[in-house]
Amino acid sequence: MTMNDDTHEMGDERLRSLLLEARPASQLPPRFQESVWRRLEKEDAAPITKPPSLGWLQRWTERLLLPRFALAGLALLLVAGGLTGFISSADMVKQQAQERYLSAVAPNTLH
Amino acid sequence: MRRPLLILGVMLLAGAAAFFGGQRLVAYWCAKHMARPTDDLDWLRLEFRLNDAELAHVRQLHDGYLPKCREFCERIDARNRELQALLVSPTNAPATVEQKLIEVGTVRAQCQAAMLQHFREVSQVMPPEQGQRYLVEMQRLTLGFHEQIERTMSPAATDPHGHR
Repeated sequence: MTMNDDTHEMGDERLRSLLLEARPASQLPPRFQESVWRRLEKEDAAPITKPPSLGWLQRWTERLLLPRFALAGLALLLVAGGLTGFISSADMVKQQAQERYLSAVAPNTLH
Repeated sequence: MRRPLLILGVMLLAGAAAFFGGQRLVAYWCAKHMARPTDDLDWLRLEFRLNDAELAHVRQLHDGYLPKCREFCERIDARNRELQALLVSPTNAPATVEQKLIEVGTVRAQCQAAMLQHFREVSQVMPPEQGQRYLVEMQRLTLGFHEQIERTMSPAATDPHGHR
Protein backbone atom coordinates (compact mmCIF):
# COMPACT_ATOMS: atom_id res chain seq x y z
CA MET A 1 0.00 0.00 0.00
CA THR A 2 1.40 3.35 -0.99
CA MET A 3 0.71 6.83 0.23
CA ASN A 4 -1.12 7.65 -2.95
CA ASP A 5 -3.59 4.83 -2.32
CA ASP A 6 -4.32 6.14 1.16
CA THR A 7 -5.14 9.57 -0.19
CA HIS A 8 -7.59 8.06 -2.69
CA GLU A 9 -9.40 6.08 -0.06
CA MET A 10 -9.78 9.11 2.12
CA GLY A 11 -11.07 11.12 -0.84
CA ASP A 12 -13.70 8.42 -1.64
CA GLU A 13 -14.93 8.38 1.91
CA ARG A 14 -15.36 12.13 1.93
CA LEU A 15 -17.01 12.11 -1.45
CA ARG A 16 -19.45 9.43 -0.36
CA SER A 17 -20.37 11.30 2.76
CA LEU A 18 -20.75 14.51 0.80
CA LEU A 19 -22.92 12.80 -1.77
CA LEU A 20 -25.10 11.28 0.90
CA GLU A 21 -25.57 14.67 2.46
CA ALA A 22 -26.18 16.41 -0.82
CA ARG A 23 -28.69 13.82 -2.14
CA PRO A 24 -32.04 15.50 -2.20
CA ALA A 25 -34.65 13.72 -0.15
CA SER A 26 -37.48 12.55 -2.32
CA GLN A 27 -40.45 14.44 -0.96
CA LEU A 28 -43.65 12.69 -2.05
CA PRO A 29 -46.71 14.83 -2.33
CA PRO A 30 -49.27 14.38 0.42
CA ARG A 31 -51.63 11.38 -0.02
CA PHE A 32 -49.53 10.26 -2.92
CA GLN A 33 -50.37 6.56 -2.62
CA GLU A 34 -54.09 7.22 -2.33
CA SER A 35 -54.12 9.39 -5.41
CA VAL A 36 -52.22 6.74 -7.36
CA TRP A 37 -54.86 4.12 -6.47
CA ARG A 38 -57.62 6.55 -7.31
CA ARG A 39 -56.16 7.12 -10.74
CA LEU A 40 -55.81 3.42 -11.36
CA GLU A 41 -59.43 2.79 -10.38
CA LYS A 42 -60.58 5.68 -12.54
CA GLU A 43 -58.79 4.24 -15.54
CA ASP A 44 -60.39 0.86 -14.91
CA ALA A 45 -63.86 2.34 -14.66
CA ALA A 46 -63.57 4.70 -17.60
CA PRO A 47 -65.57 3.67 -20.69
CA ILE A 48 -63.59 2.34 -23.56
CA THR A 49 -63.51 4.99 -26.22
CA LYS A 50 -64.56 2.56 -28.98
CA PRO A 51 -66.57 -0.27 -27.49
CA PRO A 52 -66.45 -3.42 -29.54
CA SER A 53 -70.29 -3.77 -29.30
CA LEU A 54 -70.75 -0.76 -31.59
CA GLY A 55 -67.99 -1.74 -33.91
CA TRP A 56 -70.30 -3.93 -35.97
CA LEU A 57 -72.75 -1.02 -36.27
CA GLN A 58 -70.09 1.23 -37.63
CA ARG A 59 -68.95 -1.45 -40.04
CA TRP A 60 -72.51 -1.99 -41.28
CA THR A 61 -73.32 1.67 -41.66
CA GLU A 62 -70.13 2.15 -43.58
CA ARG A 63 -71.00 -0.79 -45.81
CA LEU A 64 -74.60 0.35 -46.30
CA LEU A 65 -73.43 3.81 -47.17
CA LEU A 66 -71.69 2.49 -50.25
CA PRO A 67 -73.76 3.86 -53.14
CA ARG A 68 -74.62 0.46 -54.57
CA PHE A 69 -75.88 -0.89 -51.25
CA ALA A 70 -77.76 2.30 -50.37
CA LEU A 71 -79.51 2.40 -53.74
CA ALA A 72 -80.30 -1.31 -53.68
CA GLY A 73 -81.75 -0.99 -50.17
CA LEU A 74 -83.91 1.97 -51.11
CA ALA A 75 -85.11 0.24 -54.28
CA LEU A 76 -85.96 -2.89 -52.30
CA LEU A 77 -87.98 -0.90 -49.77
CA LEU A 78 -89.73 1.00 -52.55
CA VAL A 79 -90.74 -2.25 -54.24
CA ALA A 80 -91.83 -3.82 -50.94
CA GLY A 81 -93.93 -0.74 -50.17
CA GLY A 82 -95.46 -0.82 -53.63
CA LEU A 83 -96.31 -4.48 -53.24
CA THR A 84 -98.04 -4.04 -49.91
CA GLY A 85 -99.82 -0.98 -51.30
CA PHE A 86 -101.03 -3.01 -54.25
CA ILE A 87 -102.27 -5.90 -52.11
CA SER A 88 -104.09 -3.73 -49.58
CA SER A 89 -105.54 -1.47 -52.25
CA ALA A 90 -106.68 -4.38 -54.41
CA ASP A 91 -108.48 -5.87 -51.40
CA MET A 92 -110.14 -2.57 -50.63
CA VAL A 93 -111.23 -2.04 -54.22
CA LYS A 94 -112.70 -5.56 -54.30
CA GLN A 95 -114.49 -5.04 -51.00
CA GLN A 96 -116.10 -1.83 -52.23
CA ALA A 97 -117.05 -3.45 -55.52
CA GLN A 98 -118.59 -6.40 -53.66
CA GLU A 99 -120.68 -4.07 -51.50
CA ARG A 100 -121.87 -2.24 -54.61
CA TYR A 101 -122.89 -5.51 -56.29
CA LEU A 102 -124.68 -6.74 -53.18
CA SER A 103 -126.57 -3.48 -52.78
CA ALA A 104 -127.77 -3.92 -56.37
CA VAL A 105 -128.83 -7.57 -56.31
CA ALA A 106 -129.61 -8.16 -52.66
CA PRO A 107 -130.23 -4.82 -50.92
CA ASN A 108 -132.13 -6.44 -48.03
CA THR A 109 -129.09 -8.43 -46.95
CA LEU A 110 -127.01 -5.36 -46.19
CA HIS A 111 -129.04 -4.24 -43.15
CA MET B 1 -69.71 6.91 -31.48
CA ARG B 2 -72.69 9.11 -32.25
CA ARG B 3 -71.95 9.36 -35.95
CA PRO B 4 -72.89 5.79 -36.97
CA LEU B 5 -76.12 6.08 -34.98
CA LEU B 6 -76.94 9.35 -36.71
CA ILE B 7 -76.22 7.87 -40.11
CA LEU B 8 -78.28 4.82 -39.25
CA GLY B 9 -81.16 7.07 -38.18
CA VAL B 10 -81.04 8.99 -41.46
CA MET B 11 -80.91 5.72 -43.38
CA LEU B 12 -83.91 4.35 -41.49
CA LEU B 13 -85.85 7.53 -42.21
CA ALA B 14 -84.98 7.35 -45.90
CA GLY B 15 -85.98 3.67 -45.95
CA ALA B 16 -89.30 4.38 -44.24
CA ALA B 17 -89.97 7.22 -46.67
CA ALA B 18 -89.24 4.92 -49.61
CA PHE B 19 -91.48 2.15 -48.22
CA PHE B 20 -94.49 4.28 -47.32
CA GLY B 21 -94.08 6.51 -50.35
CA GLY B 22 -94.16 3.46 -52.62
CA GLN B 23 -97.14 2.07 -50.75
CA ARG B 24 -99.16 5.30 -51.06
CA LEU B 25 -98.26 5.78 -54.68
CA VAL B 26 -99.33 2.29 -55.73
CA ALA B 27 -102.49 2.42 -53.59
CA TYR B 28 -103.47 5.69 -55.27
CA TRP B 29 -102.77 4.26 -58.71
CA CYS B 30 -104.82 1.11 -57.95
CA ALA B 31 -107.77 3.10 -56.63
CA LYS B 32 -107.72 5.22 -59.76
CA HIS B 33 -107.19 2.54 -62.39
CA MET B 34 -108.48 -0.75 -61.03
CA ALA B 35 -111.94 0.23 -59.87
CA ARG B 36 -114.92 1.28 -61.94
CA PRO B 37 -117.03 2.93 -59.27
CA THR B 38 -120.07 3.35 -61.48
CA ASP B 39 -120.36 -0.27 -62.55
CA ASP B 40 -122.36 -2.57 -60.25
CA LEU B 41 -120.82 -5.63 -61.88
CA ASP B 42 -117.24 -4.55 -61.33
CA TRP B 43 -116.85 -7.04 -58.50
CA LEU B 44 -117.65 -9.96 -60.83
CA ARG B 45 -115.02 -8.75 -63.27
CA LEU B 46 -112.38 -8.34 -60.54
CA GLU B 47 -113.13 -11.39 -58.42
CA PHE B 48 -114.17 -13.97 -61.01
CA ARG B 49 -112.04 -12.68 -63.89
CA LEU B 50 -114.85 -12.62 -66.43
CA ASN B 51 -114.03 -11.78 -70.01
CA ASP B 52 -115.99 -9.18 -71.95
CA ALA B 53 -118.41 -11.70 -73.49
CA GLU B 54 -119.18 -13.33 -70.14
CA LEU B 55 -119.57 -9.95 -68.50
CA ALA B 56 -121.95 -8.81 -71.23
CA HIS B 57 -124.05 -11.95 -70.74
CA VAL B 58 -124.10 -11.44 -66.97
CA ARG B 59 -125.05 -7.79 -67.51
CA GLN B 60 -128.01 -8.88 -69.59
CA LEU B 61 -129.19 -11.21 -66.82
CA HIS B 62 -128.52 -8.53 -64.21
CA ASP B 63 -130.56 -5.93 -66.07
CA GLY B 64 -133.39 -8.41 -66.44
CA TYR B 65 -133.34 -9.27 -62.75
CA LEU B 66 -133.26 -5.72 -61.34
CA PRO B 67 -136.96 -4.87 -62.04
CA LYS B 68 -138.01 -8.10 -60.30
CA CYS B 69 -135.76 -7.26 -57.36
CA ARG B 70 -137.27 -3.77 -57.10
CA GLU B 71 -140.77 -5.20 -57.24
CA PHE B 72 -140.04 -7.59 -54.39
CA CYS B 73 -138.47 -4.79 -52.36
CA GLU B 74 -141.59 -2.67 -52.85
CA ARG B 75 -143.85 -5.55 -51.83
CA ILE B 76 -141.79 -6.30 -48.71
CA ASP B 77 -141.71 -2.62 -47.84
CA ALA B 78 -145.49 -2.33 -48.22
CA ARG B 79 -146.10 -5.39 -45.99
CA ASN B 80 -143.68 -4.02 -43.41
CA ARG B 81 -145.48 -0.69 -43.31
CA GLU B 82 -148.80 -2.53 -42.84
CA LEU B 83 -147.23 -4.53 -40.02
CA GLN B 84 -145.93 -1.37 -38.35
CA ALA B 85 -149.37 0.21 -38.61
CA LEU B 86 -150.93 -2.87 -37.04
CA LEU B 87 -148.40 -2.91 -34.21
CA VAL B 88 -149.03 0.71 -33.20
CA SER B 89 -152.81 0.34 -33.52
CA PRO B 90 -154.50 0.04 -30.12
CA THR B 91 -156.95 -2.50 -31.47
CA ASN B 92 -154.47 -4.91 -33.00
CA ALA B 93 -155.43 -8.54 -32.66
CA PRO B 94 -152.58 -11.05 -32.25
CA ALA B 95 -154.01 -13.18 -35.04
CA THR B 96 -153.95 -10.25 -37.49
CA VAL B 97 -150.36 -9.37 -36.56
CA GLU B 98 -149.35 -13.01 -36.99
CA GLN B 99 -151.03 -13.12 -40.37
CA LYS B 100 -149.14 -9.99 -41.44
CA LEU B 101 -145.85 -11.47 -40.22
CA ILE B 102 -146.52 -14.55 -42.33
CA GLU B 103 -147.21 -12.34 -45.34
CA VAL B 104 -143.94 -10.43 -44.84
CA GLY B 105 -142.08 -13.72 -44.46
CA THR B 106 -143.72 -15.19 -47.54
CA VAL B 107 -142.83 -12.23 -49.76
CA ARG B 108 -139.29 -12.24 -48.35
CA ALA B 109 -138.97 -15.96 -49.08
CA GLN B 110 -140.24 -15.41 -52.65
CA CYS B 111 -137.67 -12.63 -53.02
CA GLN B 112 -134.88 -14.89 -51.78
CA ALA B 113 -135.99 -17.69 -54.09
CA ALA B 114 -135.91 -15.30 -57.07
CA MET B 115 -132.52 -14.06 -55.95
CA LEU B 116 -131.13 -17.58 -55.71
CA GLN B 117 -132.51 -18.36 -59.16
CA HIS B 118 -130.75 -15.30 -60.51
CA PHE B 119 -127.47 -16.33 -58.86
CA ARG B 120 -127.79 -19.80 -60.41
CA GLU B 121 -128.34 -18.29 -63.86
CA VAL B 122 -125.34 -15.97 -63.45
CA SER B 123 -123.15 -18.83 -62.23
CA GLN B 124 -123.97 -20.83 -65.35
CA VAL B 125 -122.63 -18.05 -67.55
CA MET B 126 -119.28 -18.17 -65.77
CA PRO B 127 -116.57 -20.80 -66.24
CA PRO B 128 -117.64 -23.83 -64.11
CA GLU B 129 -115.12 -23.39 -61.32
CA GLN B 130 -115.72 -19.64 -61.00
CA GLY B 131 -119.47 -20.18 -61.26
CA GLN B 132 -119.41 -22.62 -58.37
CA ARG B 133 -117.33 -20.24 -56.29
CA TYR B 134 -119.70 -17.36 -57.12
CA LEU B 135 -122.75 -19.39 -56.11
CA VAL B 136 -121.25 -20.47 -52.79
CA GLU B 137 -120.11 -16.93 -52.05
CA MET B 138 -123.48 -15.37 -52.91
CA GLN B 139 -125.37 -17.92 -50.82
CA ARG B 140 -123.05 -17.21 -47.91
CA LEU B 141 -123.43 -13.45 -48.31
CA THR B 142 -127.18 -13.32 -48.82
CA LEU B 143 -128.55 -16.27 -46.85
CA GLY B 144 -125.84 -16.91 -44.30
CA PHE B 145 -126.32 -13.77 -42.20
CA HIS B 146 -129.01 -15.10 -39.88
CA GLU B 147 -127.89 -18.69 -40.08
CA GLN B 148 -125.28 -18.26 -37.39
CA ILE B 149 -127.63 -16.49 -35.01
CA GLU B 150 -130.31 -19.15 -35.51
CA ARG B 151 -127.77 -21.91 -35.02
CA THR B 152 -126.63 -20.44 -31.71
CA MET B 153 -130.23 -20.14 -30.59
CA SER B 154 -131.24 -23.68 -31.49
CA PRO B 155 -131.40 -26.31 -28.70
CA ALA B 156 -128.72 -28.35 -30.45
CA ALA B 157 -126.20 -25.58 -29.94
CA THR B 158 -123.66 -25.99 -27.15
CA ASP B 159 -124.27 -22.46 -25.88
CA PRO B 160 -127.85 -21.51 -26.64
CA HIS B 161 -127.50 -18.19 -24.73
CA GLY B 162 -130.63 -18.33 -22.63
CA HIS B 163 -132.87 -20.63 -24.68
CA ARG B 164 -132.89 -23.74 -22.46
